[in-house]
Amino acid sequence: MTRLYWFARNLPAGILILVTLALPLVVQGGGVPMPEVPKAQRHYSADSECVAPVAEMRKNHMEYILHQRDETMHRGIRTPQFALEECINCHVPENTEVRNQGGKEE
Amino acid sequence: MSEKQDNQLSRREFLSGSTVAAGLAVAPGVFLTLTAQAKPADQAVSSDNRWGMLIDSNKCANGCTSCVSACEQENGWGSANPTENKSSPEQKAQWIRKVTLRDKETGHVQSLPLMCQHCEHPPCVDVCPTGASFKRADGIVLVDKHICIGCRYCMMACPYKARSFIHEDLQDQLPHAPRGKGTVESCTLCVHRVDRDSDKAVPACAEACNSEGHKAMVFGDLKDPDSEISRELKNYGGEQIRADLGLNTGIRYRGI
Ligand code: SF4
Repeated sequence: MTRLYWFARNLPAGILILVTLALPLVVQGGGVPMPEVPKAQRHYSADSECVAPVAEMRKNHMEYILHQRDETMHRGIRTPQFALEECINCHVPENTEVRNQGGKEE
Repeated sequence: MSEKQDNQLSRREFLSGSTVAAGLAVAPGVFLTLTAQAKPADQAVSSDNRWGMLIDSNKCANGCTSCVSACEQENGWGSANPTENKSSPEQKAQWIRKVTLRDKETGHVQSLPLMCQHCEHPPCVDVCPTGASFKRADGIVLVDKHICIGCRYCMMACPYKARSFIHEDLQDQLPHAPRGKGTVESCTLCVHRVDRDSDKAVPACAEACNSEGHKAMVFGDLKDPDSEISRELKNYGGEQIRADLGLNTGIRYRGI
């Protein structure tokens, strides 16, 4: 009981300490460098930045990734517009530095 | 390699272009019927086709490994992917291998390429707990790497030892042949080529064998009675390896 009381009395101070400690982390983005996502190299058409208009890509990106891969692999539908090959050619150009998931540079 | 492919493409385009010109020149108003039609890119594969290959081991040269290196180059494994360097030779990818057979009585030595036999009733599909190992409508047996959990049941089930497992992180994979640690893989019959132009596609191995002048591998549609492979099989036959298992393989051999 006394322990709980001590905890409650010190809670505001605790929060303050935690926030102060965490402040540099927030400022530096948690100490992990922001991923450098390479800019797309080619545009599908003059007025859209990806294989489809930006708004549509933002909304349906996962849809395309998930369903298109099944369409391609299981049903053999390989239309150039949503081909993985095009995603890679554009978003991961040849000279991109490759990082594995551990963040270790190789 | 991409340069080579471009050359091939342009040659193909050139050839098909000139065929059309010749066809038109036959007579105005006369249309030549095409037996094999290319599948439009936006259309799904169907069971109207069944892709297969006929391999003549008498034509396959001892010591020649052109088909294996062509597959490595085409799909980015083995010597074509140096980032797979920690695995032992037994662990490494093996989409296609050369097998040498020696008859103990006569001493006759034969060699033949062995890869996924693209069975009609594939044991790898039966045992797969996730549905990652599957057979397409047109008979090509593949691994869906997104679903594969790497349990390797399929490797044990395959009587042809056709599958291999990726033990380490890989880099520089080819976009048309995604490969990744923890998944199983095998011959795809160059499915990306088949889907690109089904009526005249040839897998990389058969292409290399032809250009070496051995012509030991014939690829084609087993369901099209006019295809070269069907005519060859009808006239001269071809055997399945371990036909006793009743798997009805899409890859047939001659001279074994
Ligand atoms: S290793 Fe992958 S494809 Fe093979 S049986 Fe297991 S889940 Fe299926």
